[in-house]
Amino acid sequence: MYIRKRWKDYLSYHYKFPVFQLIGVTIFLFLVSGCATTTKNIDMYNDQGHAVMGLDYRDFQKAASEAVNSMLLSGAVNKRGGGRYVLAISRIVNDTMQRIDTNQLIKKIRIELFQSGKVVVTTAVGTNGAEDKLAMQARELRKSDEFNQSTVAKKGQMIAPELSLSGKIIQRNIRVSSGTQQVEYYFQLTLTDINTGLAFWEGESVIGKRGSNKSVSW
Amino acid sequence: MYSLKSINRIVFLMLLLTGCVTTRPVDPRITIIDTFLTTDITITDVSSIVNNGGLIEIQVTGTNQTSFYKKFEYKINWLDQNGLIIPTILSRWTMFPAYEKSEFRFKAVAPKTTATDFRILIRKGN
Repeated sequence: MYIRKRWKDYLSYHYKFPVFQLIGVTIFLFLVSGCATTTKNIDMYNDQGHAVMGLDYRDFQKAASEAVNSMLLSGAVNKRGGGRYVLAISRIVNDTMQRIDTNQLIKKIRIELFQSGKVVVTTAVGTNGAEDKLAMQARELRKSDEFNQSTVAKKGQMIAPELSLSGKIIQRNIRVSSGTQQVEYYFQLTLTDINTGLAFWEGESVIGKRGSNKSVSW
Repeated sequence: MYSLKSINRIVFLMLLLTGCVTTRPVDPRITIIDTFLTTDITITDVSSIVNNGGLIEIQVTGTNQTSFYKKFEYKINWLDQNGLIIPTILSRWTMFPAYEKSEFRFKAVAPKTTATDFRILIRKGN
């Protein structure tokens, strides 16, 4: 009896603190692991995620599909006598507070217009020079004896653009109340006939977001 | 002849049947995903034309039968002549408003001339 009591005292003296410490650490780890956000792939076909104050991929998809839908409905890309228009991409101004690569919008439109069979895009002409500089650089091979000259691009083969796509993305921030702000984004696009300088088509998509002032839109 | 009880049963059955008929979409190319919506909206017309550019244009007309403004979403899957789906950014969930006790319409265009058929999905908006 005495020995058992001594043994119990010994255990409680030596192991009391570490046992409680261990339980505490375990609970803490459980709590921490519960708080951690697990990474998931976004279901791009049915994204039910909350909207954000900035622009996300859904906004670009919406703006691009609205622009293409409007362009195809208007008939502006239906070439008389059939065939495809040659389109050059002009300047797309990012007038928002966000760092946006305007290709996020334009590339979607280009792909869709190309796949429609109505338009082909030139990469040899652009506002800041050719998008693909190799088309011109490959012509310098005309001087080289190392290349079979019959395989080098001939003079007068490039096709000049007939249409030009330009646009602007605008952001407006409006204070609704002390805790709420409204952010409006305008995606404005114009399709110009290069020959006449006339706009064949113009479109605008507006995306509005209202949320906390604490959310940043830049 | 017939008893009052059996007549009541027949009337009740007929009411049930007519209820089922009116909630079914008019066009088999339209699927209303949320079954509870079939009592809220009815699709009255699906018209399609081929425009000058050879693209199919469609317009769907329906009615919001409830007394509340509702948000719905549609998605159109475009199919070629072999019934194969055409991948396009135009096939996305698109919101459309339906005002209380009013008609609604939405219009869309095919992404390319090879699109010959379509399927429309409708669901409740977020």
